[in-house]
Amino acid sequence: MNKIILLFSIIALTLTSCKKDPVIPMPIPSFLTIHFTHTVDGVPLDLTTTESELPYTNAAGQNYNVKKLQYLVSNISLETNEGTKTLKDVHFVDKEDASTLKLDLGELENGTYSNLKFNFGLNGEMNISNAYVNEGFHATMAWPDMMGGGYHYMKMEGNFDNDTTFYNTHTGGTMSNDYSFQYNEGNEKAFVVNDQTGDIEITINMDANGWYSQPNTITLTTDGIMGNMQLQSTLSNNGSCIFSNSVTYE
Amino acid sequence: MNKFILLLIFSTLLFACKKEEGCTDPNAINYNCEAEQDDGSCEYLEPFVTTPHSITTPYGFPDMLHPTDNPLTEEGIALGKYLFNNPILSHSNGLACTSCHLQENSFSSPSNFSSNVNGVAVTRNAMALVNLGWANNLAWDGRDIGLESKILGTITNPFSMQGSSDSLQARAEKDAQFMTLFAAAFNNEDITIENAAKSLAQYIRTLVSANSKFDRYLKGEEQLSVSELGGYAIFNSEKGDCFHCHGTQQFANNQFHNNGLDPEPFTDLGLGAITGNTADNGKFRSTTLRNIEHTAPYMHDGRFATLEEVVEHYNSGGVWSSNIDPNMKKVGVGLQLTNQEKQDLVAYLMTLTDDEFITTN
Ligand code: HEC
Ligand code: HEC
Repeated sequence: MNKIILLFSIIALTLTSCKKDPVIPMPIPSFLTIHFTHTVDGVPLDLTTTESELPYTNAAGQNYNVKKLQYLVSNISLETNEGTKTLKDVHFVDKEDASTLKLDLGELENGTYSNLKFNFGLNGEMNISNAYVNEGFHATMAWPDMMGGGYHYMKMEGNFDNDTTFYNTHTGGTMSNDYSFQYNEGNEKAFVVNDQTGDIEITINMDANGWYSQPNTITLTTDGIMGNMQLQSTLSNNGSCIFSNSVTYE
Repeated sequence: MNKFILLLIFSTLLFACKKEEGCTDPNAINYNCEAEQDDGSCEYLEPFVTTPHSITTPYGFPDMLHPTDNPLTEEGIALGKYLFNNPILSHSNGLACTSCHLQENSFSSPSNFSSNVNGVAVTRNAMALVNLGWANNLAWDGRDIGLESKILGTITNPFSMQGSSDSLQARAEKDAQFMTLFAAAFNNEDITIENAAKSLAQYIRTLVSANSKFDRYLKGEEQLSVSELGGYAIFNSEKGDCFHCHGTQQFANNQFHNNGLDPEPFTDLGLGAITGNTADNGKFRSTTLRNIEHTAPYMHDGRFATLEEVVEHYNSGGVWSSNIDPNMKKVGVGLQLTNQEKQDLVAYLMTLTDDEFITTN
């Protein structure tokens, strides 16, 4: 008899304890981080420090290396239920400086997010001399007034053909033209943030060889291109095809 | 018995009314420890005050870098200026900052290598002191972060002034003017080289140059000659490519580059000696070109006596080394400037002269 009571009470206890306090999971915040990565034909880009190494080949058949890669992205935004959410006005990426390759954008509210967008470079409205005089990139990226003013969109530099010849792929708003272009990933990578999503990581990748290779072939020379509107426009067209992004959840 | 209680209450009341009056604030100089009631008679020492000094940010300059523990004050600047021009900080031999940083040379030295406190030549050209409130990595090789630490290093370095707080204190006692200036700036703080360095840093932050002919041209107040305008165009386009390292209104990016002076192996490793990274060998800071007309000789070792020689160096394309900056993209070929274009470039560089800066302050 005693045993039966004991058994019964144990069962009752377990039953009630299961039914009591259905476990409400704690809501977890979702922090958004954007990572900037760089590849050459799908292989991670390494900055080279020795001129004699020319590990990459462009569509024109030139071997080259990359010693410096710096650029500005602006108006980074996501589309939400409530409209466009601007995440960052201007961000400076310097391949050599790991702290610039990761952009912490704080907590995302619950909702559906889609259409990651950013401008490569600065649009005409933003590309004004001294507009970012207190930003760390000001002196590095400034573009002379004489050539239209504002800032370089990108500086990609290195050797090509041999260790004594250098190319400077410097893009920007030559003579105040707007050669910035927009990346817009569209809807496929829409994601939902709810109480259980956790952190969101977006990776934006630039396939750097694309600057010279698709759809237009560009041949590297030692000549400066900052005053060359035709080339700036071609680079802008090529550039709009070389970005991709992925979204991952924690 | 009741009467007795009444008396007691009465007397306490009376007593209370008779409370001693005086100054009850223990921070006052006439604090009265007996006083129970404050009568408003407290008197205080004059608080130590300094007069804040502010610098207007010139057009196109970022906000000035200010360490929070060393704000600009009129008194600090006055002391700094006094110390700059007075040998009180050096160990012996009467060396002052101004021995190597002369105002008429935009606070640089006309000799390649100035002599240190022991009469031995230093191994670098004394730098011009212009707009350093906007530079953080100091010296030709960037080894010093911030003016205060750079100056403290100069004061104590046995290869420079070899000074110490002890030697400063010993001399200070005999220098009434120093004592007055120090007390005004630092009140009753100890006389140390740290405080001396703070005041010197303040003074150097006031050495702002932004009123050159070129600045006045930008404001529409003055015209540039045809030759100067020609130089402006070379400087600011990839024809000369100077702007990539000496750009913005500061005419400096204060970053480290190898501008093709020497082949390897380098005798002076520059930044490489500080970072230990061979890729940094032969890199030096690209400093401001403001007042460049007055800061000859040029480069970290003063190898070029004139601006014409400097322009000739860049025109040659520079000397190739494995660390040469990719912006020196005409290495081996040269910029191929005509004689007129070289003259134009020099003429433009001379529009960066600020006569006021050289003469007043
Ligand atoms: C013996 C000559 C000499 C004396 C005296 C001297 N300096 Fe210098 N100063 C130099 C040299 C040389 C450099 C460049 C150092 C280097 O790159 O190694 C320099 C660099 C500097 C710099 C860095 C400038 C820059 O753009 O990075 C500052 C600031 C400076 N000195 C301030 C002072 C002050 C303040 C004093 C007095 C306390 C002083 N110096 C005394 C020779 C001197
Ligand atoms: C790749 C970057 C770079 C470029 C491009 C460049 N410079 Fe320099 N410049 C430097 C560096 C770095 C120094 C200091 C080098 C040293 O002392 O070893 C310097 C030094 C100088 C000096 C001497 C400064 C002094 O106080 O002694 C002058 C003048 C000068 N450059 C003018 C020019 C002109 C004119 C051009 C264009 C024709 C130019 N530079 C292009 C990086 C550059």
